[in-house]
Amino acid sequence: MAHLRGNKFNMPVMAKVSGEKAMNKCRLLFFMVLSITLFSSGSLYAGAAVEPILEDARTTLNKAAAKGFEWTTTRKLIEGAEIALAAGEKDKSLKLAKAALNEAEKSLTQANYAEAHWRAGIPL
Amino acid sequence: MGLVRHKIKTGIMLLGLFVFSCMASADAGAESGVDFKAMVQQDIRDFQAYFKKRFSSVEFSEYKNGVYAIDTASREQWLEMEDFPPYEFAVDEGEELFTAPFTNGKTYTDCFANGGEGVRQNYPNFDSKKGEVITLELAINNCRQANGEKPLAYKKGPLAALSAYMASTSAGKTFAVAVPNEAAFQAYKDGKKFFYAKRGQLNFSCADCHMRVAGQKLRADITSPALGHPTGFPVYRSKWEEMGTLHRRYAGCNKNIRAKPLPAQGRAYRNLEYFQSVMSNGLEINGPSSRK
Repeated sequence: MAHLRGNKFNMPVMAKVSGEKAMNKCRLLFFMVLSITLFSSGSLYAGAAVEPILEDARTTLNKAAAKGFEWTTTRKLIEGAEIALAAGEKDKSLKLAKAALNEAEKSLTQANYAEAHWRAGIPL
Repeated sequence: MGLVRHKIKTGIMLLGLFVFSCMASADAGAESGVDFKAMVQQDIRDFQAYFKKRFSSVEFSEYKNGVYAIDTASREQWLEMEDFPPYEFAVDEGEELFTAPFTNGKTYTDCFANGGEGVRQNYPNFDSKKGEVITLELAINNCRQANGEKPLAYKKGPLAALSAYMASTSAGKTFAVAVPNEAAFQAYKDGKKFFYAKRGQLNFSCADCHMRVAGQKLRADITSPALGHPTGFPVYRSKWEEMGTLHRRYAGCNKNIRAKPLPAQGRAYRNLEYFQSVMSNGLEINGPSSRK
């Protein structure tokens, strides 16, 4: 009756063994659910996040354009993101949308910097 | 005793406030009553001195020739090209267009001083009534519209030909572009700001290429000095294989640094042309000309 050997608290070991099995099952289940959640929510998040990022990129780009500082590359990124989104390529769309937002923000920063510091560019 | 001290303190504070407000209003007055003519003259002196120092062996009058003023190898090729000037056809075409009557029987000669002959050096100028800079190309289209004709496209084609013909009648006259009032000074300042502001994904300003690294290689090309840029326009450019206006060149420059070009003859490019022309005051008109 080795399995009935007492532990240091003098509790029956059998109960511990069956408890460990249940715990292992629980762990397995937990990790399965976690991985499914992570992988599926990744693409769900991508789909949900593209539109706001794109909208932000468009708004920021329009602000830079109004100041005459639009870059030639940004609108193409936005168009690429829109096309990818329409084709269901959510990861690609998210990547392009983020790149567009990054560029739009930089061009607006450039415009604002130029407004305040254009004299720094005079090499005289 | 305490009351007296308090009154003295209050008096000092009020006096301080009065002095401060006087200084502030004096500052505001100085801002509005700025001596813009002196500032423009100083800008011209500084701008031209920069190139004199940079290319000490180049005569001032040579800057009308763009990069060919500072690069011997390019100059030799250009002089050979000038034996059979590629812009001559445009001058002939421009002359025909210039003398052809509009539907109402009038011609371009009715719109311009001196019948449009020898007036290129006065453009761009500031129209105080309209509150904007008028370039030669804009004046040509204004003339067309005033006579019931459709405006022409601004970058190339018939408008470049008309501009080429009008420039050819002004050969040898010197640029004398004025900044006559504060509204004009504002347009001049906007052009100046455009010239020195960095833009595009490459973060370059006009001054970066055409002042700081003028005469050096950007990829395979040697950049031209900004002094004298407008004198030779419109130009036949080998890359275009046709004539083009200054604003077409501005758009090309902007694209090169990955900045979206602004509209030809829009306010921004006109103000830029205004600033550049003022900086080139004293140089001869030698348009149309040819460029790489």
